[in-house]
Amino acid sequence: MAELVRDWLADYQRTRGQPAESEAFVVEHETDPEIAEAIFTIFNERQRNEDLVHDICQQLLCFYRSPEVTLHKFPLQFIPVLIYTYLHAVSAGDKKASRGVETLLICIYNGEVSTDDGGQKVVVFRMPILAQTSVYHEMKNLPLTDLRRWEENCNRELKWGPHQRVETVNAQNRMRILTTLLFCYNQHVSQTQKSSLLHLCRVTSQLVNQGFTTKSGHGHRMSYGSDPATGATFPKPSSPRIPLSSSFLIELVHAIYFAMFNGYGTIAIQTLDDIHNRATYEMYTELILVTSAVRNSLHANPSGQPNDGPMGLSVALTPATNTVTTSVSKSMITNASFRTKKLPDDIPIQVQDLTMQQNPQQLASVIEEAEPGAKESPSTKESSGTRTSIMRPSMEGIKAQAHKALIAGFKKSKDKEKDKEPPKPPQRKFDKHTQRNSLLQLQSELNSNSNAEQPPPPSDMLPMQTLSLINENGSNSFSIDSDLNDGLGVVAGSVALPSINSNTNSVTSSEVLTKSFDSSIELAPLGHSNSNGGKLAEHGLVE
Amino acid sequence: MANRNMRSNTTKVEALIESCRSEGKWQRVIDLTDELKTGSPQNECLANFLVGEARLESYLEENALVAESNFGRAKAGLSEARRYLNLALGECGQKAGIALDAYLLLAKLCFACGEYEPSLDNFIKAELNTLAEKELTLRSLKILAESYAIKGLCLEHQTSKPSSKFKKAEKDTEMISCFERASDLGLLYLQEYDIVSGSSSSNNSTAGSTLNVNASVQQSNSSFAISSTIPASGAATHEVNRRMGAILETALQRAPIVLIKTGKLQEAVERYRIMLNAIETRATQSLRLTLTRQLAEVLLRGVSGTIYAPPFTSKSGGSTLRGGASKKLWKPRKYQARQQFSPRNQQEEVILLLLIAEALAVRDTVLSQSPEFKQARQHAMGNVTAVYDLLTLATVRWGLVQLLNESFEKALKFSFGEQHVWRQYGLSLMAAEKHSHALRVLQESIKLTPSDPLPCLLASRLCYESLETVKQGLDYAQQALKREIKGLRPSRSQLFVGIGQQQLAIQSNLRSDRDACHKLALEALERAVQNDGHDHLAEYYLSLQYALLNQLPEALAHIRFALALRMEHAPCLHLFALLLTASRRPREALGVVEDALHEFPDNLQLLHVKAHLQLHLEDAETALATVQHMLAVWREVYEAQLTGEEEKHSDTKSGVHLVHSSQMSDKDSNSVYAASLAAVSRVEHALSEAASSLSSFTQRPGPRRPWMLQIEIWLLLADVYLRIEQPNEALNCIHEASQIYPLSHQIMYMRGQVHVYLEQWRDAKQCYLNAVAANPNHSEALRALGETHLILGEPRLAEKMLKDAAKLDPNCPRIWFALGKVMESLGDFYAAADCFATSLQLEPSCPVLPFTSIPLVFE
Repeated sequence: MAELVRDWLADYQRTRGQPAESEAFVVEHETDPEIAEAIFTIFNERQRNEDLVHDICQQLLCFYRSPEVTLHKFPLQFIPVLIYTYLHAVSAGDKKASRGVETLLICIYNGEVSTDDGGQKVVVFRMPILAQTSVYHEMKNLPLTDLRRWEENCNRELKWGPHQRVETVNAQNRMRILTTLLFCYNQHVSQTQKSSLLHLCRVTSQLVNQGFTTKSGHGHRMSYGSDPATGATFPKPSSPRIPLSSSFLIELVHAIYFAMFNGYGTIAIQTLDDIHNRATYEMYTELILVTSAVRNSLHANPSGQPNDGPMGLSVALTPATNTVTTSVSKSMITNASFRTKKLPDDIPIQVQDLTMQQNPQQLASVIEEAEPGAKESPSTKESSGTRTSIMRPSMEGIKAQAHKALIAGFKKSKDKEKDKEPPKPPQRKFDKHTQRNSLLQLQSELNSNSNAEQPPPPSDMLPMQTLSLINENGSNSFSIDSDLNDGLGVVAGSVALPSINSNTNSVTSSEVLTKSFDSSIELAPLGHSNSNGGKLAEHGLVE
Repeated sequence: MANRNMRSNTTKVEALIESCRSEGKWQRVIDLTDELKTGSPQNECLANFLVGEARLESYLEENALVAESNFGRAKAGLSEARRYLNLALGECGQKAGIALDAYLLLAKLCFACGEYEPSLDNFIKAELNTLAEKELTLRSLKILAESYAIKGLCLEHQTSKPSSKFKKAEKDTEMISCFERASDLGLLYLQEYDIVSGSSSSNNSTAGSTLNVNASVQQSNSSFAISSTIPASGAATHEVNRRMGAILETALQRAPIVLIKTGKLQEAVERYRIMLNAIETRATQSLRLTLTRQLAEVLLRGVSGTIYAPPFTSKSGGSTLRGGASKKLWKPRKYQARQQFSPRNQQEEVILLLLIAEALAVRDTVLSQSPEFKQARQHAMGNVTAVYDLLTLATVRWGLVQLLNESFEKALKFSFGEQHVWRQYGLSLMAAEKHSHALRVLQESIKLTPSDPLPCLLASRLCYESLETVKQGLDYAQQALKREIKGLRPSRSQLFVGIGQQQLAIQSNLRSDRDACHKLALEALERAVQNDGHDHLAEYYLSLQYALLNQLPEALAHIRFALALRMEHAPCLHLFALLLTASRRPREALGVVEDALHEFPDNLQLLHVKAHLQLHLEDAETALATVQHMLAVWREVYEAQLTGEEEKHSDTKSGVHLVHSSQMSDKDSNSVYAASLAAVSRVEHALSEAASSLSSFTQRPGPRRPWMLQIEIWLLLADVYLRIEQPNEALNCIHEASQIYPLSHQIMYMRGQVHVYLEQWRDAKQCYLNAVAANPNHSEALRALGETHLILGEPRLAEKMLKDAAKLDPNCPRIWFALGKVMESLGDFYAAADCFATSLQLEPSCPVLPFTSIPLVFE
């Protein structure tokens, strides 16, 4: 091996400066797979060939700087081995021996982070979102929640780089530089010789396992008896653990993942386990995320094993389970069974508006205030405030409802709707009545100058009840017209007056009317949750 | 009876048969054929064909063609169908124009029986290769698509090995082209089918979505329509029709795989893209999930950055081809929309595919927990976790943990008891620095994996590092230790128990508690070192423990071990320097710090120690330079982070980016005076909330910690200015600090120091009182207050304060010295002598900064 490499070194030295011969060298080099193998071997046995390692590094540097593309790319495949050699030396405190490797790595790093014209290389990509149609999907067939969820990522760009060039490596920037180098290696990994993947796996295992494998216990180490004050030299452990960062190891996982599906399944899986063990030892959360994801995808998972086919791909037919599904699917609830209808846009706005003027006392529970005549709202403002207080519980109610539905299935929810359907006549009357009142109050706020405003009779003011009743109504389809008429008929006395009073007033009041009806209609879909409160109110009324 | 007017009826029957054929109602076809036969005898041949077809198809529907073991049975079951089809082949068949179809069906039949060679012969007889593209009926389209698929599969299964390399390549290309045609035709068929069935049964579904099926529920006013995916009426028959059949599905998935097998990676990717670009149909939903996932897998596993080519750009005519001037009849329709998102590079395409796959997979997950759905549930769960795993792999590298987070959050709905999802969710929350939320999820994960120490350890670390609930963290660590399997691999459970005990000891104010905790901590850490002799962290904490117990020789020994195990470890070097100062070797300590700063030029803690050492060595001028450098470093490291918070966040967190994680954690725990313990920091937090409610005070933007750091730097600078006798400059520094956050006890203390320098004792006393009020455990302020009391002639108060201080920090010689002076002034000379003696004893082993000033470290 050493001979082969020496020849290779000599050949290149000879051809330098002679264009014709160097071209021949390039061609020959491209077709010769053995030389890379030989270099890997030398790096493995670097203790025996230290000067040779140095020469190889120099020559690889020449290659990297050469304008010939094949020569330029050649050193990239050695990046993992070079990194291991370097880190091994550094961790053992032998920085001098690693100078050659370090220089090579710095040069490749500086080369890779800059563009050809000397600028800084940046890899940018846009964050795709499902809310925008793509060549692979249309929006209409995807669940709405998915679409909305990604909207915030809109126009977001992610970057790799720009990276500063470096002159020296220290403990602070070392891992960053090596991570960047590995990223570049990963960019080129499918162009390297397949055999180099084997070395990648081996070297990675060594990187993460060094210092762990020799389970020596205490006897192996220096004794505690030695006097520390004298500063006696400490026998160093033969190979200390190599400090590695989370992001560096994540890049390694990507490289290993590639190897796993390109011919080196078994060894790559072992290496991955090694990385995972290291990750759990160091508790690098992001790394554990990645390694356990890959490990999980390797067993009992449709993603496939490396040996399932090319790149672990295989035909995954649906029928077998589908037949099961079809036979029982009638009662099976899948995620698709839930369908969120988009609520009208103005609802959340309204909630906010109204809660602004809300007093804390009025947040009291529905039941409490629903008792007829128990609490009289002293001012019109407050009564409009209570109108909103129903909104909140009902929003929460939706969640509760959804949760219940989860457990009970949709059958039950149907029952519920049935329960609610027959509204009780006396209550209905009350409903209209109180509704009018609250409208009146609103109106009185709007037209403060209007004459002969009679304050609404306090005994009728049951704002909370009003709302719960509105909700009761809401679960049926709600027609404005009929209600208007009804209302006028039932409480003719109090309602008719203001509209008669002045023409201008009647216009505004009708506006107000429609407005408030709008809101009550919007309330309708939220109705379920309040059925309890509403029922309680009913009882109160009946009694 | 229909026999009467059969002439006119025949065409009607034929039309009926045709529609039944395309809908796959085979039994009905057989019934109708009888009618046809009786109607017109010359249709004998056609009838034979139809019966044969119907029998073949209904057999295949009932018996899935899967394993070879079925071939014998299939032969028996299909003999009847074969007879009929053979009958249809004759001359009359040629005349009726059904011979071609009959040959194709025979080929299918042969394939079902495992007779690959005869099947291929039939294709040759049907002249499949020479067919011209023309409009086809639905049924013919399906037959043709399946024929190509079967031919491809036959070629693949063919046992006879091709004689030469050339022959093999020829066969491969033929096989590939068969699969490609099959996939194109298959998709086209499914699209046509959707159109036809959509128009015929429009009441059943609209817009080709399987989602809005149950109309009855939707009529209600509820905002949540909960409906079954499959309509209650006619579900079974409809469902069968919806499926494309095993042959077509196999062919569709097989096409790219065959391409990869023959080494044509780019073509395979392109094939996936073409299939995914075709407009989806009801039948292709699960197929699309598989294809999106597989394309993402291919891109992640086999295509590295440099050989990647973005979709639909390689062919120059790609876009015009889609436009449709030269509309291909046998190609599926494609997605067309203005402003389509088209991926430009690998990352975009992978993430896009995975997002789509996620949406598809999540939709099919099963929420029912009852046992009869177990299989379906597991299948759906497998699909969705496969996508999550790939998504994890693709996004974490770019620091998109947030995105991952949201995905897992959504997954919880259907992941009851799924330990993998829960753990990944917890991890992603931890990575996204949502600490308390992460702890909750980890608690669930701990329950789900009762034998795994990892989630316990993670929870423990969260408690120590971020939530400042040491006691809880210690509980988790002990739980992890219990779960540990001895001797398998080293783990840090024991170490974490030690760290917890140590922190408890530091925090407790009662002497008895403290001693007990110290003892437990020492034991735990000793054991940790024994368990894993190569762990520098265990050695570091053991050394720190000895230092806290004032056993400096042992501490020095262990810090040397730690450094031997890992030379470049900033906290180790930090502790080493402090230990050297405690051994009266400050110059060596300065050397250590300066060397350490070569390796960690931006480490503010080391710089802080350096400045203090320089002050200690009466070299205030250089200390000034050091502190100024600290400010510069602060600006470099944090300023960009604070201004461009949003952007920078993705930067620093992303895998390949700037700061590696140890540095990150550095940043986060960069509290120079770590004496600010949990309780204190809570007080400070409350104060800062109070402060932010003041109208005059505006909170600085960004996270709190960098700003607190800056305060500390300013205060250090003020200290330095006092040493070089520039109190005005010192006041300016304090002013700067209080601009950031006025209520820090350290600022109050420092202001007191300036007043002391100016001999304004009353003001100084007020400042110290404020500092002690803000933080009753700040021993330095207590000592200074005591000293001020003494000067103001209030020795009893001074004694009280100093005794409190001594209780908090019994190892500080300055407190004992001050107490001695107080006792002296009170005339209690024996006590004074004792105090002075203690002070003298402690003085040589006192570090320039307390050992607790080194922040917690976990790496």
